[in-house]
Amino acid sequence: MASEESKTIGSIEPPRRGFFRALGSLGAGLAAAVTGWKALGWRRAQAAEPPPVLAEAQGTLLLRMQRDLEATLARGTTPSWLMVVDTRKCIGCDACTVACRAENPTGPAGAFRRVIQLRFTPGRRPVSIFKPSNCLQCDNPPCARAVPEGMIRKRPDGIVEFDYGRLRGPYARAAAAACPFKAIHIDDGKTFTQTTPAPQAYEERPFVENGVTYSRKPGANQLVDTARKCNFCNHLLYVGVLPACVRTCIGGAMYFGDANNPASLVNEITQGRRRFRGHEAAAVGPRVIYFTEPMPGASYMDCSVCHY
Amino acid sequence: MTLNNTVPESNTIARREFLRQGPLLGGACLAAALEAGAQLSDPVRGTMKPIEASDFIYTTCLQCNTGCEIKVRIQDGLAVKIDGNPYGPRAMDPHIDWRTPVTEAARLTGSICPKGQAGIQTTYDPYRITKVLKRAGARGEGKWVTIPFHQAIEEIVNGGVLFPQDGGRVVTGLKDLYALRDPKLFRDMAADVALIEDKKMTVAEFKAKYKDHLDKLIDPDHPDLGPKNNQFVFNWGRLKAGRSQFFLRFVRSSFGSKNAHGHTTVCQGSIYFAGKSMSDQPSGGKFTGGTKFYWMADAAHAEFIIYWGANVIEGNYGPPLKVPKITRGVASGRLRIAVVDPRYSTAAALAWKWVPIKPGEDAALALGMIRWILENQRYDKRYLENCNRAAANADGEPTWSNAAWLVKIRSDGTAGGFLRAAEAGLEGDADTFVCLRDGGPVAFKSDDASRAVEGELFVNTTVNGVRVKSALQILLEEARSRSLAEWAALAEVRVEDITELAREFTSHGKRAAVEIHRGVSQHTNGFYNSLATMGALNTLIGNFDWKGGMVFGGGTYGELGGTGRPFQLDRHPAPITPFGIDITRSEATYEKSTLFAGYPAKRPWFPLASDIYQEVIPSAGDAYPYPIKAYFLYMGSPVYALPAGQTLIPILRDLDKIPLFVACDIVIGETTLYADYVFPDLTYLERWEFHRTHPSIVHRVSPVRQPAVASPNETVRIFGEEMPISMEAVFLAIAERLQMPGFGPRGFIDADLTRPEDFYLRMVANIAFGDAAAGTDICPDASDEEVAIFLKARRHLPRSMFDPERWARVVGDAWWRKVIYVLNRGGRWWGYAEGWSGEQTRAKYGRLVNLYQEKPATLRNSMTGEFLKGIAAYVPRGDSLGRPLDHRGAPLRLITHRSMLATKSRTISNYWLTQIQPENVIEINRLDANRLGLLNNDRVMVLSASNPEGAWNYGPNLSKPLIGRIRTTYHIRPGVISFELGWGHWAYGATAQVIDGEVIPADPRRAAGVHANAAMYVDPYLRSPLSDVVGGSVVFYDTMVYLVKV
Repeated sequence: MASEESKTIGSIEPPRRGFFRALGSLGAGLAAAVTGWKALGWRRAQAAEPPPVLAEAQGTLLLRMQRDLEATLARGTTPSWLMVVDTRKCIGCDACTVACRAENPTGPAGAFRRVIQLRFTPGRRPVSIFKPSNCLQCDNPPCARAVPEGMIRKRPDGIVEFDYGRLRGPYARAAAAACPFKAIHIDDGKTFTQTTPAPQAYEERPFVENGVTYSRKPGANQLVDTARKCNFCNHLLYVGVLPACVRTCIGGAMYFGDANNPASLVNEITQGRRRFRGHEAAAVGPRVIYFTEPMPGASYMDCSVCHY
Repeated sequence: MTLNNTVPESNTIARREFLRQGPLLGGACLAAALEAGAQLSDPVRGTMKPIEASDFIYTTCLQCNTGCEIKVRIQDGLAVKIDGNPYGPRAMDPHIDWRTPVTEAARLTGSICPKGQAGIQTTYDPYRITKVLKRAGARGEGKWVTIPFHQAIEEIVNGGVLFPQDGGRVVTGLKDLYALRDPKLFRDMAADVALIEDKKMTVAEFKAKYKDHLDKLIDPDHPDLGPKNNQFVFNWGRLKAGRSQFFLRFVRSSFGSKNAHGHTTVCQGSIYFAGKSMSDQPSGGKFTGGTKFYWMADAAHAEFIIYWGANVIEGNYGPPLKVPKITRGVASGRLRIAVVDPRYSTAAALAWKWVPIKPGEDAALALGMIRWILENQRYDKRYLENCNRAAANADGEPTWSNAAWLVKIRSDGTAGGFLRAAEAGLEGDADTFVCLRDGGPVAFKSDDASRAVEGELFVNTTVNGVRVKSALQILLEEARSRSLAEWAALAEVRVEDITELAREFTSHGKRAAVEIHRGVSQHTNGFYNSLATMGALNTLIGNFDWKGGMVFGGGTYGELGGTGRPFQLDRHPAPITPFGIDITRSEATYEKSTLFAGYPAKRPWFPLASDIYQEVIPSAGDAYPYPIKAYFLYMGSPVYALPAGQTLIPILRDLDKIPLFVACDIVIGETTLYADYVFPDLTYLERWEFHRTHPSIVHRVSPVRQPAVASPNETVRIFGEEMPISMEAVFLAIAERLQMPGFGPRGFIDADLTRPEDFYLRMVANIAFGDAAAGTDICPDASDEEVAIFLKARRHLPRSMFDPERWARVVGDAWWRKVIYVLNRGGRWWGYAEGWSGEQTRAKYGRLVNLYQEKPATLRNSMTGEFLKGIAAYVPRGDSLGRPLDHRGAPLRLITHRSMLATKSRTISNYWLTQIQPENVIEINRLDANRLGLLNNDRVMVLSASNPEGAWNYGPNLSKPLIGRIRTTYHIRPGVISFELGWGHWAYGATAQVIDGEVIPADPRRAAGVHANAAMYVDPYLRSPLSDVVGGSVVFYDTMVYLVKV
């Protein structure tokens, strides 16, 4: 039982103290940042400058984003929405996933977001990385290119909007298949409690999506066989409330705002980082920017958990 | 009729009228909802209608015990969305100013975890019961009938032949257990029983004195067992303040039973009682008055924290409160954490260092660190030399320890009590102690604020002929009993791990901390593991009450009354103080009792602990110290929650051992399955409660839980008042029936207690009063706008749950608008900056910390007769008799962990959570899996010496095998496997029940996963779950198991 392996697990060379801060102070000295890690010659998929770490308290950041949002609405000009996900602070709890489900009623067939849980051991130290994933509201959306024009439109504020009346059946499935990020699901109309002795009313409650009121009551659900996906909680944005996932993130990993507002937090932290230089990102122009550490020593198979 | 485990194919299942139904389903209501929904959108902008403050009710979560402040969005009377309440420090870091108008806060939310976000599914659970159920078959058969509430009360109060299917069995009703009713007689008897215990009165003398009342005692030959009232046992799972005082008012003050037991030992009991023992203060020649609490780290300011046996990101106390401080601390570089855990938890992923310790060897690692710290003089010498308050004050220290106090050494070399001044030939009373200074003894009192006394740290000598050592010397010798290499070998870590942790821990002044949790305490040696880690290590750097150090907690706003406050909730016309040994023998000394019969005792006695969850039913099973007559269980599931909970099942099914079993809960769960009566309770979104605080919350907090939605429970009339059925209703109804003082008209002497709000609203008024006894901290009146918002937000609540005119009369005009102010925000809290004062926390522990504890050192283990140790010590694993555990060669050590998606017994109903993770897994190291020939995702059965069948046998011909899926990983050390708690149900909707002759089909989703508690070690002498007989914890983590592929 007291094996050699067990004794040596604790001997993994740890990242240096202030690892994140050390990265932040780097210029082009990439090699210095990986001192102590086994560098296996992987290619960094992002800009030379590592992303900033927001170390302010979560509540302070939420209030800042709230003020940014209210300023945008007060100006009355068209916003350009941007979301930032800092996987370094994500703890993989799925609070965002559940908040989204409660805010945007969906059924067992799918949800607007999920958190990919990546656990692997590249060298001698285990690694746990969590990646929240939702529709990136691409500027050049593959889903739109997969269906007849007009079924999917790119709004001026950046949100990719589905026309539920027309994007149904085979068109819905084509759109879902076209998404490289599996961000779209087909609503089959089922609820969680319909197979139980007492189907519950909260699953049938009216809600607003893309400007229209719907309900998922079995038999009255106008969203059956439609493709559905995250729409940045725009029903909340325009009444001055941030998206559900952003507000509930206890790791402090989610940021959101208007890129057209020069003073906004998202503008500040994404300067020069609009395009994620992964192999898929150049084509689609995502509006969800990921801040992440490079993942040392990951084999190709492990990368494919996220980069499929 | 057999139980039906399958779900019918069709979707059109006829609804069972007793279940959660009615006003929320059906055609008429949907039309109304859609119409309202049309108003949900703004026709011009096509968006949602603007958010209004009156869309929300602010309350407190109960999806776990953290109790985060939440705001619930109500839409057409339904709770539709739960979010964090920005006014509260658990949900928002930092929280907003309490005086922020609610209109400004309307669009703001804090952050809560996935369980909190799923909370409406606990209330809107298809398997909720809404009417009283009475057992229709044998216990646990799953057959019930619904009966009227007052009929159930009548039966429970009167007793009789209540269950025809039991033959002619006569149940003793509560009216007969309510035997002794005179408070004066209680006081007199209690005083005389104390004399018997001190051998100043004989039993014969007692019997002569009370000859007219002997029939009211459980056993006149053993008066220290108390009156028959003690045979009414009240046991709870999750119960918070407000409700607890309401219930205990019934159980203790009115009914007179000593037996009110919580569940603390299944959580982290030994840590609580280590904290209690560490906080005992000298008084009247004894150490007494310790607070049942424990310290946690100030993560907002610490530079280094060792999270030790603490799953601090995924569970603990709790994610919204702690995660933001940890992630921003680590991200900024201010905070470095180390994680001591056999499992590579999410916390380990953020850690500088992960130490995969062998479970239960925490004292070994700690003593290795202590040895290194002491030998390298890395401790805070100045702190440890201080013997009393004056010395601490002189150094600007808020606390002091007894490190330098002299302890008497017995002839056999064991350490006993502290040396007293008189024994050293010095002046002083029984609370005057001695240290050594400049070679000579010096007397002092601990709390003396004027004369500073400092003592030498390492003393081993004779004073006035008495052999003595300083406390720190005793600790040093314990630490030196093994070399660093030997300590490392026991803990299965490297010597470098010991030295690196110890060096880092002593490199940050006071801004370092060791924070522990269940991984440390839920072992047979949990008490001593806790003393070595939370106790000794933190004492060596004296970090109590310092920013970045160990936090005592800001407490609460005097909700129950006190000087100056408007309402004293303990006002009672004839309050009883119960007496007698309780059913778990807690806070009682075996040797003093009339039951003393040498060693081992029949079952353990727990002088240092209480709320011993694993002892309630097994003690009733052994009728030791006495048989019980009625068992009331509230919001608890000991069968599911306890290790080896299956050992409780035969006892619960035994009509002689548990003649009457009454439960109050929201569903039929794994323990309520065996009840005679189940009363439906209110969920946390429907009720009042006061969640209070936690270790690590530096702010003064009083979060309020208040009704946010209408309850589906049947409405009943008690004392002329209409209310939904709840645990309060049950006690009110019994009190009405038995005309018990303390409830009903004039229940508060000059006020009525005829409905729950009479109690809870007055507590809110006390919160509104604030901190200052002089009344200078009273909260503002709610403005007209806020009053309007308050009323509008509650317009969907029925009068039986919200009656503003009546509420105003309860608290009076002077307090009504202040109560509204508090309720509009969901509570009251210090401002964020008020949590600290300079370099320390504002609320302080501020007194003696016991490095060495006289009380345990002078108590005997009731099973072995040996004296307990009074300091951090290495105590090997052992059963109740101290014998090594026998696992019959099983190779894998079984532990558990929490996922953030589940809370033990009660989140399986939350489909949003189980959709993410439909079943739990058993984590196993890949090397172990390879050796056993197992592959990732294989299904395995868990077997142990205690459970060779590998199954939950929960009834005749009813069995659920311990089969789960494995995940092979390196995220756990070899030799250890772990499963997540919260899955593997066989009730709670996982199996069918029959109610009023109709089958309520099961939902197979709820049966998914494995709950391997049934494999955990059964103590062979006690025939019940393995325990820490000193600190009380029930043991989760000392079992070895086999995994067999199926």
